[in-house]
Amino acid sequence: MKPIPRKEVLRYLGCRKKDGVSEEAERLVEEVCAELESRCLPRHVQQVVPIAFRDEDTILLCEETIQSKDLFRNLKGCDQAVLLAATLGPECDRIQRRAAAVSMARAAAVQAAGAAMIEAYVNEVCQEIHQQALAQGKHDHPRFSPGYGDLSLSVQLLFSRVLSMPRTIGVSLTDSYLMVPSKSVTALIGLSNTPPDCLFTGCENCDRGEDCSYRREV
Amino acid sequence: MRKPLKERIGKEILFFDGGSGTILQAKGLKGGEMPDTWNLTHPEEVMDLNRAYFEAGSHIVNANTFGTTRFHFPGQVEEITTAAITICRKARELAGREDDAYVAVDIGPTGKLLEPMGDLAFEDAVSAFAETIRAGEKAGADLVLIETMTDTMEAKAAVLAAKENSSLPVFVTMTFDEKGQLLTGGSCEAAAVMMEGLGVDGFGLNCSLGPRQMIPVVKRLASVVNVPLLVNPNAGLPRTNRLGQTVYDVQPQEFAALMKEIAACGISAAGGCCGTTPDHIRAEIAAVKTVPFSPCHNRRRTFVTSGSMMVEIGKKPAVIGERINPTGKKRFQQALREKDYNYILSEALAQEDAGASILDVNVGLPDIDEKEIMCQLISRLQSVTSLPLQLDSSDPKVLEAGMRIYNGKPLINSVNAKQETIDAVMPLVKKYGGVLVGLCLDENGIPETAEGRIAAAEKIYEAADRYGISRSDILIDGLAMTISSDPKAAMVTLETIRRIHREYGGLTILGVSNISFGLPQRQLINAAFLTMAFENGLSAAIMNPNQELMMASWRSFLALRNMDENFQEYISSYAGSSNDALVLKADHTKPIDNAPMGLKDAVARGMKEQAALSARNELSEKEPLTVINESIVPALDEVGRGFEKGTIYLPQLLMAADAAKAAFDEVKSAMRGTDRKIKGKVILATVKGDIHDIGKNIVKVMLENYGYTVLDLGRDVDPQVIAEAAVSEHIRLVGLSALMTTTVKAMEETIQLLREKAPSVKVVVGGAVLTQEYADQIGADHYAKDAMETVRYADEVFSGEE
Repeated sequence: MKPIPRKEVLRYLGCRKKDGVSEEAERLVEEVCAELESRCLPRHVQQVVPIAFRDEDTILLCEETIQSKDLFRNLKGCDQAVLLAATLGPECDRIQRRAAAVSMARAAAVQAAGAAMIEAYVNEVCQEIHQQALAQGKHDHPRFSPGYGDLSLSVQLLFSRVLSMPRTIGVSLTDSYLMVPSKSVTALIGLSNTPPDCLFTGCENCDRGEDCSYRREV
Repeated sequence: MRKPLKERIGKEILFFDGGSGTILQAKGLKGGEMPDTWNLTHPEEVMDLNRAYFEAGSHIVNANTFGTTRFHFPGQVEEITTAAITICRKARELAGREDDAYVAVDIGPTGKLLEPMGDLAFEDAVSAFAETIRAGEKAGADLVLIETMTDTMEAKAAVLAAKENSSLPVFVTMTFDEKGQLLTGGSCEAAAVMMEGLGVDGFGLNCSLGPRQMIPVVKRLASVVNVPLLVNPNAGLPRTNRLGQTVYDVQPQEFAALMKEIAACGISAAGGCCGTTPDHIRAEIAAVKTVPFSPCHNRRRTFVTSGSMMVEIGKKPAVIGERINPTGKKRFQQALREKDYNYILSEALAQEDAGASILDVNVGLPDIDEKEIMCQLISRLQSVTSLPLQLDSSDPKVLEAGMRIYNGKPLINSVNAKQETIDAVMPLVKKYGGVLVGLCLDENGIPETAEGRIAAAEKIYEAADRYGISRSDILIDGLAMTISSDPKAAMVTLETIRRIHREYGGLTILGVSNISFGLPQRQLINAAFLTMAFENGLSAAIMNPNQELMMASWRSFLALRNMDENFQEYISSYAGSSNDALVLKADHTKPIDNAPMGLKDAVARGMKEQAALSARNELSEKEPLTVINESIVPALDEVGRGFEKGTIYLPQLLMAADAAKAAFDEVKSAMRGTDRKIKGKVILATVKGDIHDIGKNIVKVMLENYGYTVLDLGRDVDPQVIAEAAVSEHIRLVGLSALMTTTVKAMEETIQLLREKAPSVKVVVGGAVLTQEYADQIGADHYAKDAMETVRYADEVFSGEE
């Protein structure tokens, strides 16, 4: 995959402007990014499934129903969806725990670099999905993850089962539906035959507003 | 009459069954449905599947219990398992295979990850597997097949469950990728050695790969273990077809031809996995039967492993780091009593960086719960380092608890020739697997002559034979005794090592540091003795890898003995190092005179090593408290204020905190007892259900730097535990962290319980999703948006106390 976007790492670390970041801090971020790039082996698994709708907030897929107004809106017009799960693997967590034993600054940098890396990786995979969709005359919708908006985290169970996540990419769920290894992402990407309505994603779509220290500079 | 399976495995080639999922799906099983439910709802279809494999010639057919654990079928495990075994036995009868075929209770992964990475406790996994296995044996299963495992610890839990709850043979197959690695990162060799140590009756691989990709992995396994090898590949690599279904392309004839090639590697059983059918198995049997059976040879290689790597002992001398041991180390003892695991972990990482290949772990202190600390520490060490560990205790109960939760095949320190210790320790090694250190001493103490020590070693070897432990899994410790009290001591030790090596072909180990006790410049003697011991055949040295002279002796020996290919180890360690580097590294406890930077600057700029150096310098002139109040605290304050104003960001704040911590450590050792004034004691925890702890850990470091004692309860903490700790420790401030909106609920429950049990406690909350509004809603006393604000709030809460 491409290098980890350093700018994103700094943003996750709460550095909102580039000046003001000390040389030492920048060196630390650089070191940590290089370590993750050389030692993490990102993997993903995906599957296309048919979807259908009921009422204004119910999505039917893989013999199950999902209740979510926000996802419903995202998937408007879709007849299929890609179920995607991706992970950096256990090494990132190990590197972070190692760092935490000797330096919190390093641990925080690993956490931020890991977050930026898995985001970048998922973006790359979504780009591939976009190309494949185009080739089949389909339109892909912005990815949507369990935990976004009103979509319950318990939907993770469906991802885990359909994609056999423990066996295929080594990702397990805790009782509270969090993923281990921690740098993992699940997402649903709707596929429709007509272009989707203009949909905002990321910070623009979040109602947290200006008080969020992770907010991207628009 | 059917021969017991244990009498057949490893003596002829046996055949497993093939895939079941795709076949059941063709019979109508839905994509999301668990096949196990069909034992109750569609018994005929399951029986047809089992029968087809018996008729194809499989000797071992899996009952349909792959997912049958209490996690998927609470309250139904016995019913479903009994039905599955009954169906499979009936299928065997109908196929006319009662005389030579076996029914396996099939154990797949729980789908949950074990602690410490995940949230399933090891013993809960053992007891869940035990439930299925007991039901399976009761219903008439002939063996336990543990398969498709991706985590060695989960496989270990299943093996122990089988051994402790049944008398059935136990087979294990795990799932590796094309590089021969588990998804958890472990190597296939390390997994095989660990499972062999646990005494499984067969080990191998299944799923994920086709036969072609498995060939190199099988060859690697065949070169390290003696346990019968089992190979159950998929019908090639999975491919998604145009309908979005997973399909496998390798047809029966091609599959059979590849399996024939695998059979020639010396395997003991073959079958199939996803995508294979009775036709694949039939073709496989026809092809493989033409290959002469060539079981594993009787290898005598010695390995210790962790969950991810292994170290071979005997090929070249291994360095075992001795620093995780409280004997004679005040700071370490304090860390043990305060459960300051990070201090101990950093000792471990320093030894790893210095080049140790195994780490000794000894936590024996009279006033601590050695068993609990040993287990805690093993689990924490294994989550930060992949080096194998040497579990070191004089208490067999501590050893057993440690061996049970250790991920890998550890070194065990130790047994001796006393019958009592032999009978206490050897059964543990037989059960859990391990390489055992045998001390050359007996009921009469330490023999003064080499003859006496050899006699003790022989007694240990004979006991190992009786207990069924291979002599290659014993390291004889010739006992290095102090030369200053007996000038001939070193000669006796070296002779013992030499004779075990030459006359017995045995492996040896020594704790080398003792030899120089009472003499000046001990490293000089230690280093010379080390070289002499290596030259006499020493296989492993327990020593201090942080002493450069010792490591230099080891590396030089490897280079001189042609054990360091292309001098890689030597050159990478010493190329470009200056002449005084050795001396400097060797004695880094002395203050260095001309430190260019003041302590305040070093802390503010976040320069950790420099801060420690400057602190040592200042401490040689000033009182410890002055150093704290005039240098460290002002620097922290300056950075803290910058952070609050937004001119300094989190990385610098944390780097300064790290540097301050390093400086405080220096102050701590200079104070010797007269502790820094503690402002107060604060509980920190990440709430139940949440496993994110970095935010909490950041707050912890900051609070500690500002003079608070932190009782860190960890992550995923039950409200009850937090409330109890708040009451019993008379806590005034509790900090709770949550990262997910879903776990804010657990935060609220915790606050409610605290209000009830400890009404005077103040609660400060933080975490990515929290806002002032949220904090008010759930009844917190304060919302802190970052670590500095928590510090300021703590100052406010405790300000009345002084």
